[in-house]
Amino acid sequence: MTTSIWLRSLRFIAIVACGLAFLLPIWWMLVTALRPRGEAFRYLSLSVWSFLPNNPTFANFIAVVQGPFGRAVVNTAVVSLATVVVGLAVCSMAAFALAAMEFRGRAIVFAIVVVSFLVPFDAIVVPLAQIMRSGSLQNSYTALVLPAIGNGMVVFLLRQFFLGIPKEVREAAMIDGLGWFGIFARIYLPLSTNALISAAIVLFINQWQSYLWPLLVAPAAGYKMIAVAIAEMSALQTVKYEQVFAAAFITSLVPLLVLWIALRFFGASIATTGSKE
Amino acid sequence: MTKRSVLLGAATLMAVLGMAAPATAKTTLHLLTAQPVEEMQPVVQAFEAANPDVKIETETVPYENYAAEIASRMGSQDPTLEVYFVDAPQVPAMASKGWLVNFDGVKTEIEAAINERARPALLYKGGYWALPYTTSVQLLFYNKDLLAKAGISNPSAAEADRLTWQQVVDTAKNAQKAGVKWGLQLEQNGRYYQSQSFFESSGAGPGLTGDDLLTPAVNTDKWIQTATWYQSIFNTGVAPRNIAAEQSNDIFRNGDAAFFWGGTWNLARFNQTPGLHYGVVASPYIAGGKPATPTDAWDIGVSPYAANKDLARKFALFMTLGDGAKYIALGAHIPLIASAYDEYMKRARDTAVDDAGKKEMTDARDVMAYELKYAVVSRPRSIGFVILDDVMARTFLDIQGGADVKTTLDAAQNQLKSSFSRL
Amino acid sequence: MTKRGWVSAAAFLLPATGAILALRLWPAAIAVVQSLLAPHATTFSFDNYTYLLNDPTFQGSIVTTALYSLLVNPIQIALALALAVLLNTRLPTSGFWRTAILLPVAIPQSVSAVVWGVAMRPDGIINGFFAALGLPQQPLLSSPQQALACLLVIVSWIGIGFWMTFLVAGLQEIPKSFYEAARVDGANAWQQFWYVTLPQLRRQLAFVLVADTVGNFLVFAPVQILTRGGPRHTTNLVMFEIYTRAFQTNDVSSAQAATVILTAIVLVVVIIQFRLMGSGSRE
Repeated sequence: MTTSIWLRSLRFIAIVACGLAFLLPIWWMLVTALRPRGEAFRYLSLSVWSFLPNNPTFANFIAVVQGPFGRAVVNTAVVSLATVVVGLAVCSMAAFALAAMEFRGRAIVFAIVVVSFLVPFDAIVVPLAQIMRSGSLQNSYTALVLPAIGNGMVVFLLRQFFLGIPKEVREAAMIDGLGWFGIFARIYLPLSTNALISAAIVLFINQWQSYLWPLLVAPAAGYKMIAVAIAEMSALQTVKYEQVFAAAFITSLVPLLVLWIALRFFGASIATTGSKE
Repeated sequence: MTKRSVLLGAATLMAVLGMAAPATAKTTLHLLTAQPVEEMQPVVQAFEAANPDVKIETETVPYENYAAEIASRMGSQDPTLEVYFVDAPQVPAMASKGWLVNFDGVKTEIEAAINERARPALLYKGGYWALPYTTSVQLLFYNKDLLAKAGISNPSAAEADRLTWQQVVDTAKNAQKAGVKWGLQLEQNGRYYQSQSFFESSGAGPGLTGDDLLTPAVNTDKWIQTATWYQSIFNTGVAPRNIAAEQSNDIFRNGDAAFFWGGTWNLARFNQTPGLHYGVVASPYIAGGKPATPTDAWDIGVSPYAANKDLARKFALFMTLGDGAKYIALGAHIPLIASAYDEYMKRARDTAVDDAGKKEMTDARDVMAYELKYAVVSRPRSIGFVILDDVMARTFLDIQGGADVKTTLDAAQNQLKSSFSRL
Repeated sequence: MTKRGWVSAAAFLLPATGAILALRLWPAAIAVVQSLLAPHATTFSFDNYTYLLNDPTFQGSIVTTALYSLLVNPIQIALALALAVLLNTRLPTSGFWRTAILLPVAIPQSVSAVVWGVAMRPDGIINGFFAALGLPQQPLLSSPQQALACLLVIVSWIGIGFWMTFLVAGLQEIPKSFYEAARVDGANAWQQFWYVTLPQLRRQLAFVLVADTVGNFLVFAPVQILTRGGPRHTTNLVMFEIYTRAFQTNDVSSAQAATVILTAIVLVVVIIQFRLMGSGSRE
């Protein structure tokens, strides 16, 4: 079966090549972050030193973690985690109703869900910020989490997935005496690990790099989010780009870990989809 | 979102804050700025020390979105927007929208504390709507080593020897012939702040005319003439196109440009760059015209919706006309208040690392002083300024990129007219 | 359905739908109302809409956005699908590479824009590569011809991993037995893809198509940071117009009108896509 090994090797090379192509700009950020102060743009033309630091230093990372950015990482982690937990619960329930339950007006509710994510969030931030401020919710974790949990795209995603679970499974469960919530929690959810992980990733990443909303509704130091903190660093008369990139690299490390762990659980549900075989 | 619910919200907020505060019920006052929080620490601490029942919360918002933040919070009459930095050219627009509290009561003190040429920048319809805080000035930096390599002697910093732009470009070209990568780098890459200078200097004007400065005039013959000259700097390869403003001083620092036209905040940075031997002269002017150096930075304003209006006024006055003024010297911009100005100049000189540096700083100081008194031209005091700023930034970028000057200016004229009709 | 069933459905739906209605659709309604009020007007009218639709800059932005959308969506989805097929494997370290391709999504777009902006500078690395290959220096982001294509590359780098991940999830749902059956019937790799993979991926592809299309209509961070709609308005996407009007020039009512117009366009496009792909609700 040498052709198979040959093909597999080719595939492996292709995978690594694609992966490296995507990683290259992030690698460049890391290299720049390791450069001493003022050297960010010294090696722009193509040379070995464009991609290797010739005077590496951790000073930028240290400076950035000790500053407001460090706090912002904590804030963003808290907000993102809360968003994922509450958002998954809330959206999966709605998706279940839309996929598995039959009721009058189902199409209308689905339409509402889809229309909601057609409305550009950036276009409603101003009225939404006013609503939050009139409820004195500015500069709070509530203001940051609340708008993110009713995510039309996530409901849509999960609904598409739930539609793939055959009616027979549902009916069998009902015969067994399970109520709607039991069917949801004990049958649908375990079958949906992949989709739930995808949904969690969507919710997490949306919050992790959100910028305009936190800027308008929670700019106070105690609630500052990562993208706002980084923007602040980039907005002075003399920008310390080495530090900006150090911050950006740290910003990508946490999702890297989270995603890596999450994606390992992909495919775990195949073994349990009895009725698919 | 009625006023009542806002008041209720504010009252609840204050009650909650009151409950969370220690026994000596402190009032919280909010300061909004686009500068780094650390820059505000000294003045905040000084005020808190003098007023122990007050706690000041500083919030920073990046400059890019600063205007949006204010607009959003004013729209909901947010009582937690109290003392805030005002981008100087936006005072007319903000005053006309009722976003600023009037300070005519301290008119005499304001006029006593600042240079006469800086006064118009604070006025709207004859009244003072903000307190003076900082200003700025552009300097022409040159790289002594690169000029020497090309056999060019250093320009003089004396007032009478101010260069014309044409002279600078010619010298820059000669330097490039000797191997320098770029002849001239403009720090702000097309932004109106710098580009306005060319047009004021040549006599083409700021692009706005009329009593209210609401009639666009960017496609006059003079404008086309000046813009064509501006384009030639890029077309002939003297200046690089499209380098982001924040990245442009690196080109000079890395020794890739003979001349650099940028702000005084670069002085400290260049001083700390080993191997960079720079000199400073005044901003050039268009031959046949007059000097018109870019200026203005921040003022301090108070919101009429502030929860603690009197306290906000008190702090604003402390920061500017009061004892807090000396802390203005700690920032990146030049203080407008005379006492702080002297302190700032002294500190700037001290960032020099050697005698050559100290001489440059003395030159720089003299140039800055002269410019601020005689040669600066503010941005136009129009309520349509932000629109002008935005449209012209894109227009200048297009012109830099080689677009046909007349067509581009005509399009800008139409866009300005159209946008102004919405005011 | 029984009354009890109704109550259950409502219980499942209420949190999400409530949040959507209150925090997304209610502000949207406020925005619509604002769009019907011309500056300084106290009565409702369509003035903002007439103003916009007669404004050459806005008209241009619609055309640019349409052009961009027609190019970017097929390219991104085809690439995402190709990557998903390539990376749907148990080969060692492939999990790491899947994560690597997804990673750009987690970086704030403003930072990604700056990094790519630096790479695309006239003296930057990409021109360095071109020089090494013997090609002349390209203006890239400062060229009216190349800027939109450059934007496409940047936005794709940022977002493709996202869509690839969904499609990988979908691919892993397809039971191996389907492929076995096809192989037994004599199908080669391409036929297996066409007759097994694609139909089974239909629901996920529908989702990716719609979500990606919507996302691409809303692109603006790289535009704001790198090109500001230029050069010569060639990257002036509608969302950037909206942002400029709402947050720069403070012409909120025309920004809201532009939003309504944009949403209407996206809605039409999505409906068409649904019709073509089928939303999958018929099992």
